[in-house]
Amino acid sequence: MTIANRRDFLRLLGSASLVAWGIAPRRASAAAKAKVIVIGGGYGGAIAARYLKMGEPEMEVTLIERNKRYVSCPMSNEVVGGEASMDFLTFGYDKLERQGIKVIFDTVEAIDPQARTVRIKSGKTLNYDSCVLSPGVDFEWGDIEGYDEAAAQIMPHAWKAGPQTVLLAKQIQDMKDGGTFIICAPDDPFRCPPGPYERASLVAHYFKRHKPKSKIIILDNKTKFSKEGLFKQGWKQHYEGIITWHGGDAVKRVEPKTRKVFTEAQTYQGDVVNVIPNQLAGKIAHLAGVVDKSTGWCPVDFATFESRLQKNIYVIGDATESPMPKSGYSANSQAKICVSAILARLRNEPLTEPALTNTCYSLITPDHGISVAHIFELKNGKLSLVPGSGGVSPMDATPEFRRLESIYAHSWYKNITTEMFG
Amino acid sequence: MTHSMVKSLLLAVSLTLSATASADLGSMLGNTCAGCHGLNGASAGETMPIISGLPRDFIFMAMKEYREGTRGSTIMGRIAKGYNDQQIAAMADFFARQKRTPATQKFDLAALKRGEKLHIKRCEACHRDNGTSMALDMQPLAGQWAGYLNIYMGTCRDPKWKSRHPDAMTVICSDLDAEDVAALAQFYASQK
Repeated sequence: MTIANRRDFLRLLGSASLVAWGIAPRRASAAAKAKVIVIGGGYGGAIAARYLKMGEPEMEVTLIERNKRYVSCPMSNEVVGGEASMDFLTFGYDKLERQGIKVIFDTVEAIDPQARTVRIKSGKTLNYDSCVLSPGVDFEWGDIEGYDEAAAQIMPHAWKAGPQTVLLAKQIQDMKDGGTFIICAPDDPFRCPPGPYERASLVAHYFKRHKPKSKIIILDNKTKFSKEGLFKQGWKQHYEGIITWHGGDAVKRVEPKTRKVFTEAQTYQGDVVNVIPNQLAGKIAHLAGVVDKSTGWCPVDFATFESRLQKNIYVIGDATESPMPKSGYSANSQAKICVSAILARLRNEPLTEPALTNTCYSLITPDHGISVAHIFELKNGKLSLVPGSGGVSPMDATPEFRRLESIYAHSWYKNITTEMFG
Repeated sequence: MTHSMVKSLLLAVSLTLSATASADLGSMLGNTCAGCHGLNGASAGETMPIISGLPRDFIFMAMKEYREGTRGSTIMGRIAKGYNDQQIAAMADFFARQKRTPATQKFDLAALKRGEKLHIKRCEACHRDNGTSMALDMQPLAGQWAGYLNIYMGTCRDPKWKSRHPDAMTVICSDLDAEDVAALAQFYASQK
């Protein structure tokens, strides 16, 4: 056999693609007989389940998820700001089921990494060869005195989309003109780094049209934040005198009844208060023993996303300890690398060096979008940004540039959610 | 076995290995694009271009132009800087191999007719066969999202759009008005 010309070479490339690992299926193998359980059906887990099934259609892929309907955190600030309804955020799992993924709506009660079993609330115990956890985040209740789950019914966090989003949106709509909306932003690292500032922006947009005498105060222990220059430029342009950011001012205590917020320096009186608590890996990660107690997050091998603490358990998404921002896109990108690694291992094939990406849009007004992109490479076991790549939208861009980014934000959302649920 | 037979066998093996590696690399990298461009490049978002089934060399050149800053973009320039030539080639192979997936969208008949006239007059010389042709590695426009085409041609005719588009498109689009652009976008979107 010789390679005569470009056409032959391309044909070779074409046939090679059929046997490539990744999403190309192949004949019955150890992988086809394997059982993989994915726990958590969000931006990480839904993609992991779907790509596992695409890569190995005969394999038993089970997705365990607590809620029958998924509510997206990305774009939920549009609901808080009154620009979109909850329908816009809500998705079902029926299409995943139609693809042959076994979806179980239940709560995980225990994971035994040695026996490789998962026990669910209904009493069943399920076996796995590989288990993918995409547990998201939980809150560090108690970091702020007076803030607990009961207080969150008065001062919503709205940092897990669902009833909390509805509650915060309603409080903002019911607030009197001339009122004060306080956002207490969390410490790094947390889910959706630009989220609190996008929320302030979209609520300011609502106030400007409906309650023009109202103000927004952001109380923040941090002294800098994601896309800061772009947000501040946008605020100056659209919301001068409406949004004030207090950096380096830690919230120590809240009083839900009076809606008072106490920092070290001062007491603030709010009409609507949004407390976004500090975060750590979701509860399931703690059950599985994959959390580093000193950090609260899950250390993983970035070539595979296998836990560094438990074999055959993989952790993706917000719960991982990683230099990637805790975003939906990061979870999506991590899920695919994780699936490739699981399939390669089951097939006894070599791994391909991973590249991971993040793309994240934020809205300052419905027509003013900004973005950040990151491309990570794996070097000596560490994820690092490819030098010279990525970064945020340019400062001082034209209104047309900002408008295009707001349009792309919506097409991004359509595509990433269709990839998960459509 | 003669020396030359051994040599060609070795060549075949090494090419097979590198082709497999390239396909692996291509699907791994291609998958990272899906969050914005849809599964295998079949975009479901009406302003994000469908990139499945585009000519390999077109994707390769477009990514290189984004990377060098000679093709205007909001975000693609920043993203393309994350990849070397080998990675871009592997991505281009991956998307070129995917089945082309025309978008399902609604049309306005009056705009379609206006678009068809403009197409014949101004665009057909390059975008042949009603924009279905991929001759000369031309990007096929047929079945593409009207929303994307509209934005693309709009930026070509915007003098404030700082980065340079491929020269021909800047010239061709410069005296189209917004209604012309929308009509052309509708026309190509309607073609299969």
